[in-house]
Amino acid sequence: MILIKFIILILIVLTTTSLGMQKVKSFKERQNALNLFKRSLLFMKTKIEFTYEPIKRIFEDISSVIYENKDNVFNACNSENEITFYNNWTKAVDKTLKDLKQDDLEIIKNFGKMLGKTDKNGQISEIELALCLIEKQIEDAENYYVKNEKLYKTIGVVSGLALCIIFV
Amino acid sequence: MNKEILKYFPDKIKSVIEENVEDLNVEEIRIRNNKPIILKASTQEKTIRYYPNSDEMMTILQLICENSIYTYQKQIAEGFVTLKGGHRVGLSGSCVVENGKVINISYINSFNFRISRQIIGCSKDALKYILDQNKNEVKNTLIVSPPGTGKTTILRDIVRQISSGIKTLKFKGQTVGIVDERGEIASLYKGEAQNEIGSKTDVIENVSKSIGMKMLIRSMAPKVIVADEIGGQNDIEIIKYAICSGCKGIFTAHGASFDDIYVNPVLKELISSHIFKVIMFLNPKHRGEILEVYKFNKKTNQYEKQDEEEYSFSNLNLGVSDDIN
Repeated sequence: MILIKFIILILIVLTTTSLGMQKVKSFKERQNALNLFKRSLLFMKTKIEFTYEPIKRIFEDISSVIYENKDNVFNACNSENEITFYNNWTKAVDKTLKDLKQDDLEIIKNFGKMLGKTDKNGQISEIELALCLIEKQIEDAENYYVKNEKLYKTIGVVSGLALCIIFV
Repeated sequence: MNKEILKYFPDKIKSVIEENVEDLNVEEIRIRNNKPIILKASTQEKTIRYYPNSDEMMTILQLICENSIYTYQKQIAEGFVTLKGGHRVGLSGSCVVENGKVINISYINSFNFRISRQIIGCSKDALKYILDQNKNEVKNTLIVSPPGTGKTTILRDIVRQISSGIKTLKFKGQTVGIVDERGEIASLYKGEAQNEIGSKTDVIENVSKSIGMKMLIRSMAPKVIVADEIGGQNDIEIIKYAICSGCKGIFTAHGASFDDIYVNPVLKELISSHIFKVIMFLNPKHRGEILEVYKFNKKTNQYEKQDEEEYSFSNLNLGVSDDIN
């Protein structure tokens, strides 16, 4: 009986610790997603500036060059069949960028509003603005990670131990 | 009507056009901001009581530009966009001018979708005046007609035939260079000609005739050089340069008679210097029909009206894949 109790307590601690770790991982994933999006913006800027390729083609390239798998916002946007680009973009953002916070999503969705709608200089300015905003979000994500990494890990372990004490 | 053009319209516009098109062989779809849509066939016109709003106009622009206006910026500034399939969309609105050049058109007010049509073999009548079968070459020719009477369609077919060769006449294909200033002859879409223009044809587009002809002559060594709608300031010099370089030329110009074309000093000078061996007028009342042909007579030093009976091409069978070398 004591052995079973002991195993249950260990399981509780392990579960809460892994929940804490999961939370920390999600912070890291937000950082990664934002960094990938930033690299995509830089890629897009170069493409628009020098090749004038249409958005769809650039998205195909970003999807294959920047991302490891096809489950990314650019590929998803190309696969949508709405009549307007913005609808395709928002749908794709909602489907794929699940690790991001609401603020990040708003910036990325707004970026899609003007994409393809202006001349080359207008597009470059839009991308630069988005880059600026995304860099801030990356900084925020990094700070958040540094600030909360230990906290969430500790909360995971401590809450597990606390539950154990209560049960015991 | 060619249904592929419908993918460039928002859903509502698409459905009203589909409902109204019936058996109409539509050649043009005119869409104006907050004005009724007009479907235009060769002999009739149909007005659809649907009034597109600004958002729909913007959506159409987005769709024809593949959601990438910057890619089509130069074409927009020229006033038209070429679509896949060779269709062309003319657009008008507020021009943005910088250093005396239109760099963009903002607030698009109207679109004119011109549905591409190529008529294989429509140059049959024209070719008999243009070809010099003994020398296996073409004569320097000017085709004259008012706008919208099939000049470019005939020119395109002439290019196709002289480039691929005509088996039944034992006419070997010639290297043809097209200076497609407004992209109407070959309709290049991402570098691929959307119209059948023959197997030995090189195209340079979106460039002025003076620059384009020089580039083509130097780089592609064409036997025949082709350009639509001559009559601009620099055309005399470049056409003379092309002819002096040993190329033959086939050109078109707007007008209905000698009196009309003499109003244009460029055309007047080119005709006075007898550059053209053949001057062909198309019938303004019947699209694609030849009204009269004048041939330069060296002895009298004048252009003389030709008799149709002089040639016999009645058995001529023109196809796309004649290809003889």
